[in-house]
Amino acid sequence: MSVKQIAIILGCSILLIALSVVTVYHHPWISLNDCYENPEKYDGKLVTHFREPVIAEILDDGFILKQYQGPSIKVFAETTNLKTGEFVGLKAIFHKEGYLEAVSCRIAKNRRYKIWLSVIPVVLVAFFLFQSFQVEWKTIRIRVKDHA
Amino acid sequence: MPDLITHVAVSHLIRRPYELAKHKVGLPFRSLFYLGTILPDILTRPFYIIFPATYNWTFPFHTLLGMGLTTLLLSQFFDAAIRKRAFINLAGGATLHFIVDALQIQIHGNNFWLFPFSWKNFSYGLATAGQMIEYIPYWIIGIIIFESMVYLIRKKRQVHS
Repeated sequence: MSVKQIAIILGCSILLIALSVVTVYHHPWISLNDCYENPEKYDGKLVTHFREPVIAEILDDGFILKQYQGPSIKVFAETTNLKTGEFVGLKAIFHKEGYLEAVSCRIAKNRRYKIWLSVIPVVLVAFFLFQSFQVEWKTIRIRVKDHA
Repeated sequence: MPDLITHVAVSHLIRRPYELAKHKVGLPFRSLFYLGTILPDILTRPFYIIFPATYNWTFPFHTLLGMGLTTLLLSQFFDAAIRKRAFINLAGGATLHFIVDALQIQIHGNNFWLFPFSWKNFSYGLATAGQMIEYIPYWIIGIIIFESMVYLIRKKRQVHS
């Protein structure tokens, strides 16, 4: 590997890390976890990001939103067309008392299928790549296989 | 984001006619184009679905600039003779990914083409990701019809020559 290549790899890596830092500290969205960390600051703010939100239970005036690796919360919302166990796309106002008020809410239709169906092309593309390329580990170089 | 079958199907139906028109038939670079088209999602989704706290850290990989840097970085591992073509196919596939993503109806922004200079979301909202899944059979039928036509035309040409 030449000095130029190493410089490009290092430069790109540093810039990618910088972009991640920019996102972590300057993103415009508010997540439910941000609200839990600082309820006073986010009281009355619009929350758009949740951790794999699923409807745990439907109530008369809303539902219980369950997050993956995160706390559950009561959401006041119109429950027509909502179903227990489904992923949900949600925009809601956070209240420091510990509940959300839905601004827009809809079932993330077919989300489970989407995740599992997406595995098929990944396997297929990996197969094509292994058919087409080989790695020379000594020089860390990828080249086209002779027969490809 | 639409599912990855939709992404790969669209990339196939765009890349293949180009390849045939240019008489450049070859799986290696086409498979790099496919890789480019799924790369923004496979470098982000699995991580934040399994580890939700990583969402903000992996986010740049789902942006034009982040993908440009990633594909440039990856292409450095290719043999010098094919490095430029590898980069063009990876970056071309990734660009197509964001164009297809822009066709999706999004409840919150996910298509920040000008990141990190602007947080403007580019979305033209034709269908939700869930609705796009229902079109998968049509994409597959489209590919089968296209490939059958290519096969028949080639066979006819071989008979005539």
